[in-house]
Amino acid sequence: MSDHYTVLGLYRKVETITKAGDPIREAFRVKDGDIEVLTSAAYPDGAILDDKELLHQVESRQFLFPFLMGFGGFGAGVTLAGGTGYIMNLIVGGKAPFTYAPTGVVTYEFTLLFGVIGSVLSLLYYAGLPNWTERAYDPEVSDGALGLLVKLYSTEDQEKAAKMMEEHGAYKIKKGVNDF
Amino acid sequence: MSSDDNVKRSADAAVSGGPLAGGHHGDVLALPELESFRDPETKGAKAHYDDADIYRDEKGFNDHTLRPMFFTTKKYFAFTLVLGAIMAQGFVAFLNQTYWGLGMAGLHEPVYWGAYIATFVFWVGLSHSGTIVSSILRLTGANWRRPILRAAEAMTAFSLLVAALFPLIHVGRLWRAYYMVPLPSQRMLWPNFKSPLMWDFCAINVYLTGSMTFLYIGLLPDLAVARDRAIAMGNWRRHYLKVLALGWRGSHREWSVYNKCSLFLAVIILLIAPSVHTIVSWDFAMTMTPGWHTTIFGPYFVVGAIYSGVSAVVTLMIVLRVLFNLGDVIRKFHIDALGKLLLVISIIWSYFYFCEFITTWYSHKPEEWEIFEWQAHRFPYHLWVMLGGSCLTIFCLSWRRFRACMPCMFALTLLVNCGMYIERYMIVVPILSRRDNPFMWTDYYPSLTELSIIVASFAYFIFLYAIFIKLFPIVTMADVKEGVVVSGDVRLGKHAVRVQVKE
Repeated sequence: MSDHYTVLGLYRKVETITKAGDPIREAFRVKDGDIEVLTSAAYPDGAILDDKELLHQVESRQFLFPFLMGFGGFGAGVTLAGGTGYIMNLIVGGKAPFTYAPTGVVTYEFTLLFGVIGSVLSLLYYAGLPNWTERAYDPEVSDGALGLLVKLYSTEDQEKAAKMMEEHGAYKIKKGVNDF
Repeated sequence: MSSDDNVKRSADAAVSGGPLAGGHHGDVLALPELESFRDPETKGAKAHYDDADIYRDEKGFNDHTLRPMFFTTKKYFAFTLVLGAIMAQGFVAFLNQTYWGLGMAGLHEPVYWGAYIATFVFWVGLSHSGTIVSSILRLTGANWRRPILRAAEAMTAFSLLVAALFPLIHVGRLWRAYYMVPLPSQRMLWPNFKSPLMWDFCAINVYLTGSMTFLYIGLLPDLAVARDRAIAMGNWRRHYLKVLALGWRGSHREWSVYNKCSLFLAVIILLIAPSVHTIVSWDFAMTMTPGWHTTIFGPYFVVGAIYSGVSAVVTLMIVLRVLFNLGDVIRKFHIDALGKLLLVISIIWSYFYFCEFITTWYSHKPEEWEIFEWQAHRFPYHLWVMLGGSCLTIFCLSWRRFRACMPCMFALTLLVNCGMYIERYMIVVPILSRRDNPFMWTDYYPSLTELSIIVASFAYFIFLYAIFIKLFPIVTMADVKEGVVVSGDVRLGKHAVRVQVKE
């Protein structure tokens, strides 16, 4: 049984795809997460689709990843440089087992290292990557085509949406099943 | 919708190529003229510079910028073969040193740090501009940054990879390198975090991880473009490109999250990079050796690293322009902008030279002044290249004509890095050879083994870069495209003014 159906319409101009998005959304009552635009460059939020609110929710949580990971890195740095000094003390030049300067330096580096890892994890988590399954896509997007991708729940709606896209200037239509 | 439907497209990528890119200047793809995408109202009017100037149509742009990756000439193979031979002789020298011991190097009491450490500091320094410049330009939204970021970031990653070899080569007993890794052993011996060398090990590894990540994340959208092109061409690169592109489709959500992630990384890298070279400087400054034990070393090393790195970026950009025919992507405008940046940094760098000299000269502490005198008498030509290069840079880069002259910029930036290498050598060697008691004073000459390994390190860097160009897109295509998307011409009276939209 099919879960959902997709229609991908390719457009040549921003103006055309912008005009196509809203009517389709209204006609099929498409939810925010069920409609996407595929582009080869980053367009400003809301330039093509009015999905600012959804993205704002994502962005407001995305910073938590590097932030929390940074905290973890801080703990790891203190444990590694300071903690191991206590557990397995190596006497060097009369220095105390826990010394501030080395612990500070190592902790700083580890905090940032974990921050880097957190940033990458935030990208992977919120962008849904990696995803090597076959998904609705057309390589023409790489060459400048603008793709409007809609997720629908019946074949009738899929047909109607494809027709609407054509009417609104799509030069190529692709239909798929369970590949949003 | 299967991927097979997606991929069966014709691949026509016949645009002009440089000597290493393949193709000839004659077989240029007929690209639409620049004006075709511009507002007809402003056609012919002089617009301000923008990356849009190189962006005739997106497919043509992709073809042009991906050409160095997909098309290879015999000259390229011959070139990499020569590099391979140089690396091989260096490897033989390294094996020889490993077998016979560090006596094969010219190191002896009291000069235990010689050319290897100087080269290590040089490569770490060279790595600095790539990500720092990239981060700063990203955060400040400098529009001219777009095509050059990738090449600069790759330079950081590769120079760090080369730098990381030198401590291993220098310690001699390579098989004990794992002592630096925090593994509890039978003797319960952990790495000695109280040693600045251990801080250095941590910092370099963090910077290497951060730089590699920064490079890879920046590559992600372009990997998807290259993946689509490789699949269409049936090229062997499609196998790894499919995996590395992570299934990127360019959805708005992906872009939005990606931009935010790039911002986080730019900020974090900006915090890591200066710390790394400061910690490298502490390898010296935390000792009680006269000439090294100084508070100025941290910022002095950081500025020197950026100075050396920006020069190397300029050298590299000019090489890429010529060898891969990327003159319309990496334009004279970019070299000019980098030249101005270099001018500012060279002024700051000269200020540091001045501060270092004036304080030592005025206080005239015997143990420090002896080192200065020794440098002047033993290495006069080195000093001339080092100091002269810095002064010459300020003088030459003040002239717009000089910045517009590619051979002149190439020669000057090479001279700067020669000067910077010598500067690293002058920090390490003369200070150690005039250390402590006069009865210990001696001279040091790098041995043939050291020279072979050092020359091989340069070949290794160029080799890594040459391989990278053949495996990944060297131009930051996504950034250039974004620049085009958010910019346009607006009429202002009789003129067309290029404007850029910012959120």
